[in-house]
Amino acid sequence: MALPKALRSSLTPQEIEFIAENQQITIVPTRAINDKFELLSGEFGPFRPPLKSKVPLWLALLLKRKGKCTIVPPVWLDAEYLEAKLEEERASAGFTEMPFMWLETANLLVKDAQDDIPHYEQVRNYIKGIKECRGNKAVAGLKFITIDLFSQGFLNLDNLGLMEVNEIKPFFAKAFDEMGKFSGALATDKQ
Amino acid sequence: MVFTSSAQLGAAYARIKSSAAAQPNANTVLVIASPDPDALCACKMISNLLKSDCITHQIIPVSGYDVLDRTNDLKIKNNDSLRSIIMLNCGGVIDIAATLSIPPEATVYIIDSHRPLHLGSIYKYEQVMVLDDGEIEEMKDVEEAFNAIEMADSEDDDDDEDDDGGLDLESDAESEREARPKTRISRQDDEEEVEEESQIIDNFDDDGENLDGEGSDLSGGRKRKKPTGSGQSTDDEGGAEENASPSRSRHRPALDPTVAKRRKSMEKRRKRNRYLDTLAQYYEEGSYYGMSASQLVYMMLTQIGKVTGDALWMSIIALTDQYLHERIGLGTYKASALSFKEDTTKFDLSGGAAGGAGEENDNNPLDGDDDDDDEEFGAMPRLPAALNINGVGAGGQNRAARQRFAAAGMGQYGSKGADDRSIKCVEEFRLMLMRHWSFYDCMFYSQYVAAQLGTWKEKGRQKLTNLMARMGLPQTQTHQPFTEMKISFQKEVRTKLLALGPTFSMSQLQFPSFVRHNGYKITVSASDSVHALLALLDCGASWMRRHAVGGVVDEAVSDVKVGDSSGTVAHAGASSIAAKISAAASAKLTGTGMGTRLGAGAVSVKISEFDDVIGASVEGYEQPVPGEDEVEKAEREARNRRREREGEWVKNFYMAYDALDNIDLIFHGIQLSMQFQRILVKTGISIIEKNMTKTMKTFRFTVVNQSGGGNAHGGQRAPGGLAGESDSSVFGRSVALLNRLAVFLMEAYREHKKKQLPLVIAAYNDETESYLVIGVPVLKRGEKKNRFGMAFLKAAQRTNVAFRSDAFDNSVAEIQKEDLLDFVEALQTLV
Repeated sequence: MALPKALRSSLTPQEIEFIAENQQITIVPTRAINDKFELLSGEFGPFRPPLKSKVPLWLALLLKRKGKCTIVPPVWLDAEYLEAKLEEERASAGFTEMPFMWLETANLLVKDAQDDIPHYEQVRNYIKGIKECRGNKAVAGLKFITIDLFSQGFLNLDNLGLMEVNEIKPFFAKAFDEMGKFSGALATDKQ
Repeated sequence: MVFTSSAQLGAAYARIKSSAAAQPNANTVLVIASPDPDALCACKMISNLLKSDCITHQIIPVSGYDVLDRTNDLKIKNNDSLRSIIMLNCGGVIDIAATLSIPPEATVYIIDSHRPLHLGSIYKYEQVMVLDDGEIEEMKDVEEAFNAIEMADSEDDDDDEDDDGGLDLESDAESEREARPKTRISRQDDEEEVEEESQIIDNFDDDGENLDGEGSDLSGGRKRKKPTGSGQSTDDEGGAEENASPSRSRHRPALDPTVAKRRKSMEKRRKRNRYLDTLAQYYEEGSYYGMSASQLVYMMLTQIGKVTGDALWMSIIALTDQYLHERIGLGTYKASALSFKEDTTKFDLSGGAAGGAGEENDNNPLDGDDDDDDEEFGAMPRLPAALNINGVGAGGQNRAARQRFAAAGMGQYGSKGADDRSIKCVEEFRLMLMRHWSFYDCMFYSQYVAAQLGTWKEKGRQKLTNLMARMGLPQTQTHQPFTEMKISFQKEVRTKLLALGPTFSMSQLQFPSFVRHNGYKITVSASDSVHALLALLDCGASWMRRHAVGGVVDEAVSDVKVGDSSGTVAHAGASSIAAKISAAASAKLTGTGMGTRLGAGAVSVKISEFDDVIGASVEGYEQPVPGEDEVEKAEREARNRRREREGEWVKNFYMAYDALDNIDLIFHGIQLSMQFQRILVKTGISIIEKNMTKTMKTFRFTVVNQSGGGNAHGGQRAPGGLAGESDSSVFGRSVALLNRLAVFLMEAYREHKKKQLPLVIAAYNDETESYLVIGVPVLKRGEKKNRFGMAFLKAAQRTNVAFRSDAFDNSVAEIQKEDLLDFVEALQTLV
């Protein structure tokens, strides 16, 4: 399939959200659904309140929108935890540890499952703060693509989320390549 | 049961659901709604409910009985997969089983606030289910009467002795439909009849006997002779028309002494007449309103357990609509408002001690909500403070942290955050759209103030300025938009008004009402929403086309720089055209103080999509035929234009429907309704000043004249839309607006004239060359029954005028130009 040029090097944010929706999450059904339903991606149900069940996020959101379940937010999506994380993020030079698809998942849940997340406005603010902080670090880190880098041989970018990787990938990869060419030239020069 | 008691509304919904589930791929549900705010809200609530259960359904707005007929032919008649037809605020007062050709497996659910309801729909037809608000359960005596008459009929047909024959309860559905415009007339005839019958029967002991054989009465079974000799051939009523016409024929009493038997038959007859009286009384009391459709749907939702904040807000809007238009009294209003108030706390989503803050906000002056600056200070989370806590571990910090979060989430004034959609109960003034006009305008154009102070006279206007002066408000301030008055004045307005009100004979300025926050956008009150929706329903589509898109017809768009639209118009989207449009819109609208806060770009994009979708699909739109000549083309275009005009109200309906979700549209609606109110008050004042109301014996009569034709502004006249900004021809087109003018005049007369008379008002509609006539009874605080419906029908029938009763309301009629005077004359003797 021929993709337009803009899409060849990275995914769109909507695609990433789509991928994120495949994660498993716990729900508490509020209405009983007594049949199993067989879908292409697997078999789900029956749902008997108040027993919890694990379903993909997309199904959880669908049920939530129809008022048939409540979602149990993941452990890390909590106001206090995120507050601490934000502080940690501001204090350290590298990226703190966050779940791989934290931004997308948080976005989806805060949009559709507001009443299931206690203090959701605070959560939203902290997510925003963490995102900005990391974004700043990523941009600042671009300065590190220097020729000296290549003497080390690698650049350590731990703990980036999928969305963030996707953002910097096109530019970063290309810049890295170009730098690599220069360093190669230098190396040959030195010889 | 063919009516559902108020405790079992949930069961009715379960039926709809299960019948839909049985046919998962077909569209089994039709929702038919009339274009008024109540039905609109109920429609939205039901639609959301059906969507949440994945039930496919179709919404069809109908504006009158003829549209209902067309819908019947198109969608109902041969539709075998249809199982549920939900009718909102329509179809309750007529014989719906005869009007619609209901498919055999379908059920019609009627949720109608008009009263009195048709008894056949309640008690007889199996396929019709009327959802009850508790009133039907009280009508035991009527039920008894109805059933007795029903039974008596089926007996009498076989009975030889008794000759109460000829009561006809069945009718041919088709002849019914043809005769339907006369049906309602003949019902009135029947009631007339009944009175005469009871007189006849009271005398029957002394009466001579007629020898008409029974046979002639029972002949054909379907025709009924009318002893009044009005010369009209019998038109059959829907089966539930209980006004029997015991024939005048009686057998000669048999010579043998079956006195006992005779006495028994006398008893029977007396009983029957008592029943007939009950029924006649039921229908003749006059039309009034019961619980609004939205409230009924809300009750249903509570029983199912699917109430949402939106549903609550919509029920509040419907209730406020009923109260503002004097359809229910203050007592009823307060009772319902109280139960809504209890529910508001359930839907306060912002985390933390919402209840506490809610109480506080009640005492805030109403104006504080609009102050953008203040909201921002309060609602922004104070992160730096949050980071000052020592240590980050879990455990002991939890409670402190939680409290901190709770505190940070709350704004000082109104809104608590970007997602705040909570509903609060506040005391509302009877001033229309108070927060959106200048204070002077608001007082001048409010019905209540105008009526009490008498602002049509110079003396009244002086009183108004006097009032302002005593409140300590400088003139410049009062003429500025309310939100731009100095804050100190804004806060004082409330208290001062209350204090000074009684001196100016305005003692009932406040009533308990509700407001809703919309995040950081405007906080809108229930009455404002009602006005906005009404305006949108009357004229929304064309207004939006002209104003939301920047009035491209008459404004010069070229000079506007795209860069002008500030960053707040975030939705302007990628396309530069949309940005240009929104810039034009903002340029044009800044004069009215709306600025760029509106997301006008979003609205304008919406309009263009809207037009494409709806415009082309107006029913029967004729495409150009190849090879047609000039004349034919002109005719075709004239027909299309007429269809477009008729289709315009559908667009307005959907515009108002969207406005229930979209606060920007409501804001536009508010602007539009201000326009309408200006026209209304100006017209009302000119009518009073020029003494254009003729006082007849039993009522007052006014004709609203067109003001000098359309003016030059805005050249192109949008079909069905406002022809110009001060054209009072809008009254001829809009029932709601004419109704409000009538109420305005009534209130004015009540205060300033000695005699209390009902009012009949007529407005000319130049497109159909007819007059829209409305009858408004004397406004009493207690009972609210309108007897004009019957009077209109009788008058029309007597004078044989072409008469269209429309908008599902009997007291509204459309009369051709030539017949108006005759009609009014006939009416004189009837009221």
